Amino acid sequence: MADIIKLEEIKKVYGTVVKTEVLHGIDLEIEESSFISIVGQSGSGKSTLMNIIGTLDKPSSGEITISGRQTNKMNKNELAKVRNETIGFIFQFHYLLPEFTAFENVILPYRIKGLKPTKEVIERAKELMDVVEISMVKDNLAPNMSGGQQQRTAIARALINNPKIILADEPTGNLDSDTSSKVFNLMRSLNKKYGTTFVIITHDRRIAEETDRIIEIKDGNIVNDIKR
Amino acid sequence: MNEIKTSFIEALDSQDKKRAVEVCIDALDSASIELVDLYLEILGPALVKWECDYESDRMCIWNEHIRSSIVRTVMECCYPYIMGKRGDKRSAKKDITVAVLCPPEEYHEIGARMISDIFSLAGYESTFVGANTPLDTFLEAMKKLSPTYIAISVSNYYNLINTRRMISRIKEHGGRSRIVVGGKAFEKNPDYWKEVGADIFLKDPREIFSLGEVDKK
Repeated sequence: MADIIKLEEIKKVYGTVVKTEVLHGIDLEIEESSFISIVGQSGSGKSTLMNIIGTLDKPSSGEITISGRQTNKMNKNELAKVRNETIGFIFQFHYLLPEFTAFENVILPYRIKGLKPTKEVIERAKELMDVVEISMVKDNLAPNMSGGQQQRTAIARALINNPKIILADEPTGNLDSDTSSKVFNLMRSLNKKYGTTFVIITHDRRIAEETDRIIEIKDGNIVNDIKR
Repeated sequence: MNEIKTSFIEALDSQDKKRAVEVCIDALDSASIELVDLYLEILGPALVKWECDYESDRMCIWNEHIRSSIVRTVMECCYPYIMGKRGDKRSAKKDITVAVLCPPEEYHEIGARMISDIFSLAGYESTFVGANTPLDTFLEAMKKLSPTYIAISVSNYYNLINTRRMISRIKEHGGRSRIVVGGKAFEKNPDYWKEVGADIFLKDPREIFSLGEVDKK
């Protein structure tokens, strides 16, 4: 499989007067359709790394190639386009819009493109809602769903634009163990079904040990990179 | 060996502990199989190669634990054979000591137990410490035991992270023990033994006998 994400000598420095380097030249290649986890203690640099991969933040130096396109030289508009079409995000807190229904939240990334949902998009939304098992609450406003249903809605939302990559930052961090297990199994089945690349930041070893590759970040460096 | 293997797998699949023990002990008694082959060709594969759909079959873990329990019983019953074989010409010097353990949070101990028994067979004074060994306790014990080798068995690949930390702490602590690693976790990470800081990688447990030959000199 070809690499869908490639980082070369990525450094990130915060501050202008007092400079703090939080990533010290990260080299990382992630294959297409892979299912990997990034682990590390709080403050290790893993969320910074995830934000850089997701084009939410820029590195201070180094090169990033996402799906064959070098993103570190792109302007804001180009980055936003890559982000919306290539990458889906799942966070610990679902960030669903509370005044919208589950269905409306799922198709939101498509509507952001300024397009009216086509019949195909509506069908895809329905299919995704079936896959993540939230069809029965599709007309519920976000606050009227359980934590697990909200997170599964967020997963369907992340997938609506058929992204090649899903970046998940502590996707089960706010869920009980049973619901965590269901959400994890769902991500794994989506990886198999659609070939979507999953990069999951987690503190939960039960999640990490079930992924196919574990990358441990410590003090801004990759200290372990192991395969199952 | 195939006949023994088939009979043993049948007993294991039907969770017939008595029959499983009989098959193995009869084979050893009749010299139809060497103990090392029983461990590495029959008992080990019977656990590792067993397939179950863990996502859809909720009895998989239950069945896996029972199979492990039966294999553990068979191994306990093999101990007299290990004692009987220690005078083997392949044996290392008997004053060379080994502590065999699993790193913190590694609960799969059967592989480690096999390694400990094979070290014993090769003539070493082997102490089986067991699963999920707390590092601080182990470091205290090291002061008294000061083994020639510390053998660490890792099955779950996540535990390579803990293994690396454990070896780093052992080395910081001083002592002259050489660190030996092995186990399923290294299958997809064959060069990772260097990364975790080990001195020796046992790809095949039979290599313990080669080590014994070297240590005999």
